[in-house]
Amino acid sequence: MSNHAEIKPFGENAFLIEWSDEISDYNHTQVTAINKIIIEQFNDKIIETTPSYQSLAIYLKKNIDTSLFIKKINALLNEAALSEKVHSRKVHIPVCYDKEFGLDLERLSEVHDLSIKSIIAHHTKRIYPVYFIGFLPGFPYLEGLNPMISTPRKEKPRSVVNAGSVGIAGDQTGVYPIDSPGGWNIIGRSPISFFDVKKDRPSLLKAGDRIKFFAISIAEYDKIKKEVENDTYQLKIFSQND
Amino acid sequence: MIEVVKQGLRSSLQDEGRFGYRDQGVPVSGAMDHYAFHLGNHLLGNPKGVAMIEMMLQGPELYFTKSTYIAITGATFESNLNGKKIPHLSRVFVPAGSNLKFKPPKSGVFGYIAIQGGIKMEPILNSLSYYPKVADDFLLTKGQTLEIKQHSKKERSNARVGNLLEPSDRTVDVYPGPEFHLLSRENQKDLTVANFKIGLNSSRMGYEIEHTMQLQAKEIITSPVQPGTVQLTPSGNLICLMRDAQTTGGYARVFQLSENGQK
Repeated sequence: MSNHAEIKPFGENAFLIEWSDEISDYNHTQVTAINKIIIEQFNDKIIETTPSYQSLAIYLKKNIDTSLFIKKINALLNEAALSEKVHSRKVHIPVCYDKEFGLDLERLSEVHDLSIKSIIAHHTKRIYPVYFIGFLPGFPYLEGLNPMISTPRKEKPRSVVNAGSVGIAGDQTGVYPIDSPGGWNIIGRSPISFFDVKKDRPSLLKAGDRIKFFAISIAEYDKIKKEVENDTYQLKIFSQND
Repeated sequence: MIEVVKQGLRSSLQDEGRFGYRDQGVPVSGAMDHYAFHLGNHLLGNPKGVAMIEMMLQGPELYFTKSTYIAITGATFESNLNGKKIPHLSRVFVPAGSNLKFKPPKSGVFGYIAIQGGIKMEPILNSLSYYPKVADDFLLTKGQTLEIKQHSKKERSNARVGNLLEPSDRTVDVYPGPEFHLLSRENQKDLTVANFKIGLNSSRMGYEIEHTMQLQAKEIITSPVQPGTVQLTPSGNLICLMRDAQTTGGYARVFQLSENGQK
């Protein structure tokens, strides 16, 4: 089966596999499936891979012949039946949408002529697939924000957005995993840790996950924050069929 | 031990880089000038890839409580050990109780202080390279002490290098980037023959490339980028991504520098 993928060189020790020029579930599934196969089959030949919306970068070890390796991948792309379902987790993320954290909620409420309550309802209703991690360490690119609450980036970015802040930029929603300057409209904050170098896998989320936000009070935020610090908080993670 | 008396301008520890975490959004980092970096270890007989101090324009001031050997490479900083000039690109003995200071470089930006044996610190995600919020321990701070690793006696070095004066006019080998073919014929031609100057708005993340051409390229769907990727923004700015570059980006990728071109 052909996956309509194209291979492009990316310097001397890297190449890209690119699918059609669009953000879609189909492309995401292809990227995730091929990425998994390459990591499993060629772990000894690659340094690492970087998936994105419709493109996958493969970084090869220095002693590997890039053109020979590309031939193998071409064969793989032509043969591989990507029927294999990639394991997907559903992660429930607590978010406190109190005004203390939701710095731009009131403005969004005016802009969209919606109550703060219904903005929160729109944001927590959907399940967002994590297409990939990029921009910042641990930052998930999420898909599927309700267009009713999509909002352009702030004209003047904040010099510091706190780690855990949940925001909206254009038709995207996302979470800041670390403190960073940023222009996203901030609607709440999660007490959980999205990036921690002390963990074997520092990023909580990975490409292929799905996440669901649920609203918590300030009291619950403080309680969970303490549990996270003591490493006793049990994040709700469900496997695909749950 | 080495005491940091003054930190200078963002002096940091760097090694070859942090690999295996790009799919988690963690940049590669590592020494900006890999050639000078490897030279430093080579001069001291260190194993390849041992972390050293990278300084940028304004070096740190260091106090050595223990004797050791060092080598200064990269940008031509004027290095003073206890008030006396020491040579660039040489293995230099540092007696216990020495003070090491620098004057800004005559040419270049990034210089290296290689220490025989290296620095004893716990790596973060398999690397001793500084990157903000991920590996803050490796940014030199005033008052910090760095422990010198015991040097293996077997690895002696008599390495010497000639005087490497790099000319300011240099050609850099590039490969066409993934979006090079999307540029207009004129832009493709202009880009390959023009002379460029590195702009002032440059950092470990990327260099601004100054030019006077009429260039343009549409934004792309956010896609992988790496050190050495040259991006073209819709308003015509050229940016060459460097070691601390993000792992993905949304600007057209017009060139990819060769490995040699990045040194």
